Amino acid sequence: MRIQTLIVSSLTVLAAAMTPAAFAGDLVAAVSPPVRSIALPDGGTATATTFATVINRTDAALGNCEVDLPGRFNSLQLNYGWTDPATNALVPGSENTPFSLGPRASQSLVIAITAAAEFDGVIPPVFECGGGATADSLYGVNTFELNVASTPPIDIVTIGLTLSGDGVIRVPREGGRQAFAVAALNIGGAGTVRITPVGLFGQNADLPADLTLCMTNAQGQCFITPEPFIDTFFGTNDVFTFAVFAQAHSGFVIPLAPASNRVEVQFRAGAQLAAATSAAITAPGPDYVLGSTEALRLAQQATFGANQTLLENIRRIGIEAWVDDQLGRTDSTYADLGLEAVPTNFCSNMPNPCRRDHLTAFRLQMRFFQNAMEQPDQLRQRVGWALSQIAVVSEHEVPLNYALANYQEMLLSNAFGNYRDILEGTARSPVMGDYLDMVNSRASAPNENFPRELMQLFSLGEARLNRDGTAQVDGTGRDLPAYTEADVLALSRALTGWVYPSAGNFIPSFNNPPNFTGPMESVASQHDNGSKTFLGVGMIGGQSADADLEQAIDIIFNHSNVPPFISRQLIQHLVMSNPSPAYVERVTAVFENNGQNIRGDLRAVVRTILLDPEARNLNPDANMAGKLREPVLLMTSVMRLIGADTDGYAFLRRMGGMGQVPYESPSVFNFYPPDYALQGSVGLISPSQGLMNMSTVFERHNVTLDWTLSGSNNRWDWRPLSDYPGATGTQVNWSSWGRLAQTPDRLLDVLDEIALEESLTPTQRTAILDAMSAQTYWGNPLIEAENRARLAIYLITTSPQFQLDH
Amino acid sequence: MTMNRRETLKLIAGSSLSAFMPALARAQAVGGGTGYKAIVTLFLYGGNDSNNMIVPTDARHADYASIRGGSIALDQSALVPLQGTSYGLHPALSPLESIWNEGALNWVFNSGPLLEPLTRSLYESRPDLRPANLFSHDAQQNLWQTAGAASELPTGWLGRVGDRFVDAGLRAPSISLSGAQRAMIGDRNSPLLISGGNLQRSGYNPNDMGSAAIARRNAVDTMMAASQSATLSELTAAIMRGDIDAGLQLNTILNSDQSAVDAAFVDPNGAAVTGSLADQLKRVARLIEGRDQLSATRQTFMVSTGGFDNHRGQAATHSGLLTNVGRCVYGFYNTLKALGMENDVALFTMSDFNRVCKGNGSAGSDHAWGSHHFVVGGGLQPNQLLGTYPELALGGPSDARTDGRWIPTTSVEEYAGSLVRWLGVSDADMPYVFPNWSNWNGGGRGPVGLFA
Repeated sequence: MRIQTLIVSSLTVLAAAMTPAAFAGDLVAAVSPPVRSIALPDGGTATATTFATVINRTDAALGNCEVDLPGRFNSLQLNYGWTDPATNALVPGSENTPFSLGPRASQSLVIAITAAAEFDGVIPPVFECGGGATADSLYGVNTFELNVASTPPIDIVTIGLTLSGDGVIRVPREGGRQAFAVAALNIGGAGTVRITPVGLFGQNADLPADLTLCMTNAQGQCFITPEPFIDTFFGTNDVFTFAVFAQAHSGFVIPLAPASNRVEVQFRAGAQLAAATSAAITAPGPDYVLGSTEALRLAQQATFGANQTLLENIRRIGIEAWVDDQLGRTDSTYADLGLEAVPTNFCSNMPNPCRRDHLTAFRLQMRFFQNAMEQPDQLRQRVGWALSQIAVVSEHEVPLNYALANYQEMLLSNAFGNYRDILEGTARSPVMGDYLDMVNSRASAPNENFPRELMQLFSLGEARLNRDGTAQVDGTGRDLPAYTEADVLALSRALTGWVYPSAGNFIPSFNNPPNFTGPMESVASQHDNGSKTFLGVGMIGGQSADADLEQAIDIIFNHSNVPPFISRQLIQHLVMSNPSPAYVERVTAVFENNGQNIRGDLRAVVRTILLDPEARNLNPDANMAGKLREPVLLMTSVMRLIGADTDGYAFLRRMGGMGQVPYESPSVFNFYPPDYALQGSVGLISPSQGLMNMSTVFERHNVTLDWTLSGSNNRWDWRPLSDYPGATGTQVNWSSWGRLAQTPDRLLDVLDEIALEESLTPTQRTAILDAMSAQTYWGNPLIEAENRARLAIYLITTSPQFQLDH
Repeated sequence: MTMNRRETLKLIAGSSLSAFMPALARAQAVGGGTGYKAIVTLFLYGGNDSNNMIVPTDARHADYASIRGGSIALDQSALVPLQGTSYGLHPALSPLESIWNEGALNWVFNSGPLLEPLTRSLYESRPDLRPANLFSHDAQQNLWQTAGAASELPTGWLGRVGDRFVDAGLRAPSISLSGAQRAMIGDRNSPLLISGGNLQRSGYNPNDMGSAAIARRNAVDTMMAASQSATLSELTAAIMRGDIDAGLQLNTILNSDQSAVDAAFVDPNGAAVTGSLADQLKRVARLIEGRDQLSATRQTFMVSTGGFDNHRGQAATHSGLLTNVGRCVYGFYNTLKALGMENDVALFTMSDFNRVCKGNGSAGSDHAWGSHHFVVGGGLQPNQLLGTYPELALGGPSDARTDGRWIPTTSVEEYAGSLVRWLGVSDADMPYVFPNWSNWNGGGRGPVGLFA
């Protein structure tokens, strides 16, 4: 079959395969070939032809239809004519003659574009009928890329043909394979081209398929094994045929979305795109075990933000399997940062970044955000982050990067370990010793700061608790205290005698210089080894500092308050701010005994928290459900949604205004109190509401706007830091979102599913679509689509629905 | 008689208010109904060592010095004398001297959370009468701010003042310049939380009449207006909407370049005062300046500064902190005078607790209890030293322990109650604001005489 006839017939099916879009024009058009390269003779003009088909999608007759160039292409001239679809011949007398389109009728055309000078660009021809009916410009479908050069370029006309004959590569089953035939004719000068099949996929992920191709003989067989690309020499008038193979990835679906999910076969002479042909592609996915909303709810509880790939993973393997996989992961670490020990005066005579890199938490914070954005052990990081808000230390009083890194690594590495190890870790840590003044506390003047907070904040809380987390009260309704002042004093005495580690070479002594390279060491002469009574337990006299510390930690750890106090807060950090007492009690039971008689098993506790019916309930009790996303979780959610590639610096530049920068808590009481009362409610608490003031409401909105609607890749806060080795700044690939935005209804379906738990109302949908269609960028459909995608993402991520976990 | 927790909670919930009180006329709920009045709480976070803010300069100074110890006691010669009294101020508070001389500075000695009047023997024999978690930052901050005495309450006394004002239809009665503060949470009003910056949404310009801008604003509004399924979510969304509306109004007031505040906010040498606390107080001054635009007639403001938890190396740190406080308070009072509002506004301090009189081994001091505070305002009864200065004897009648942790002789209710009454809250409403009011009103107790 002659290529030109092939071209025309494929155009019809291509155009017909377009699924209706929200504001799709009354016309739909396709152009092929989409790319031409032609030579410009000296002092003359050059003309490239291509073919087009226009279809009337309405039931009304349309007249006065024309093709024209957008105004800005004033160096080019467009002429068109009607063609006979059967023979492809030009209809005499039809040059530049407006045509009519009956209801659902089509018209095939030839378009000739003439240039008088060199040109290189993408042209979106305007197809328009009387009464304003137009066709939407869709990149790669009805756009025309033209290259006009003085030296005769290779000029290839290429056409693809799918087996189903409808312009769609239909992979037959999950993980299956499909082929697509391509023929190419060179009508220009001779040259070598590289032919590469490229996957195009909506919303910033790679097409889940491996693409290869081979040159084929007249019977359609490959000469050699298919490869990701091939280089071929085309003489003038050479014709070659190729087969392109798409091997879909098992476990992933490729939805049928011809505007955004395509395979494009690119013919490049050097960097120049000489020709291209494309087809839509679709592949069935696995049978999902879970709905998307169920998966999203888990992702909100257990990760730093959901995206399509993560949700598909969860849906594919199910809640329990995904949680168990997460419970086994250990990808993130701060250990390397903790090895870079420096004395506190290290930067006295050093040039600038020294101070930032060693005497602030800067590098630790960069690592925090890098891990949150990229590392797969998301749940472990969430628990580590929660623990850092319970057993708080802050850069404000311990400004040493390696020291803070060591402390946070202790919490992170014990996230799925045992809570006793965390309590002991805080007691032996020189970082905590410095932060709460336990270091150098001695018998003659025992310091009460750490002992008090160890009980009040890290283990018991102030009120005696029932197993369901509610406070025990006396006959007059007063809270029973969990501990007394005498207990604080006894614990202070028990924890005397600890000093900074002595760096190996000498005997530890009182007032050792600050050193955070290992646990604190004890000095017997400074330890109060008298007998004590602590939390009702006798501690005999004569014990060493180490023995007293171990016994004190045991006494605390075995107090009945610890399971409900810690379980409730972990639930509040992960799932919901107001868990039912019954939920708390179920988790308390596992904290007390994980089933193998172990107390404090955080792995079992976290597993129970996430698998509990109250956490998994798709219709939670409206009086108890809900959790306001703290600033860190809000912003990582935004950036993971859009698929940002970041080294974390952007967060450090902008999070201060929202009141939450990791490891810079204003006090040991964290960024917000765990029991902050929600204004206007009866008895509901909402801890991160403590950070929601008038200023931060605007800040949350404005930073989100900056990174979505105004998220161009050269923005000031995305630029890499010049004096930080390995800095990459932040980038987002908006072009794939843009492709998806060419079908706005589908874009909103996707965003509704992966960001809003399918809560988008018809009113909201209409308002967003109206805003998108009012956002135009004349003459460049791809930029227009990208802008529209960013607008939709902005509207969704600044909404109250996105600010909250439901 | 102390109110039990359940009764207190019912009271707070408001539903059975009438069961407890005689009927309240709305107009009577706000006394002194004309003009404008405001009180400004300055909370010193961490437990300010007020033993060193105001110090006896008579024979007691020797006791003071020997108890405190060399590293933290202030020399008598360094103190700034308070004219006409046997006390002097920490040298860093010298800017307050002129305010005392103008009759606009009063002191309240040895105030703190108390359930009932306590003596040392009662303190020892009746542990049930002690405030819970006495030397805990969080607990004591909450008791100062919620006036719960027995245990913390979910709302604060400033928030409950705000409740009465909104019941009476007043606008913007509670504003915090220092983020979320327990004191300002009310049952049916929430404070405006202002912390600087430009209070507007980028990209939302109501004057842009282009079709794309209009459609976008409409979409933003539509998303914002959607009702949420859970109570917590809907209330949070409502707070967001309220903040956005209020921000627009306040933006003009806070950022206007026509304000008299910046020029007047200076120290005694005429130098501009900067920093976080100064910024907070300047915003308070601007809001007072702009009170007519807000139609505000009775307001409470809260500002704060921290770093007072000086367990180690106290002398230099505390001096620096008080220098800042002194300059900021002076600048604020100066600004009030420039605005002609000095008689209608009173600023007063609070803190978690005083610090132990006996210094600890780290050249610092630990957590204690009864503390001294100052009040600044032109409407004060001039030159008053109120409350009772503690007896400086370790283990003596004023001491809860043996190292100088003073048992308060003036309760939070008696101290704050004086300001609340001046502000215009009626007698009948005082028990709503201070649930423990009946222990502190009558029988020889009552609000301290700060005002005329």
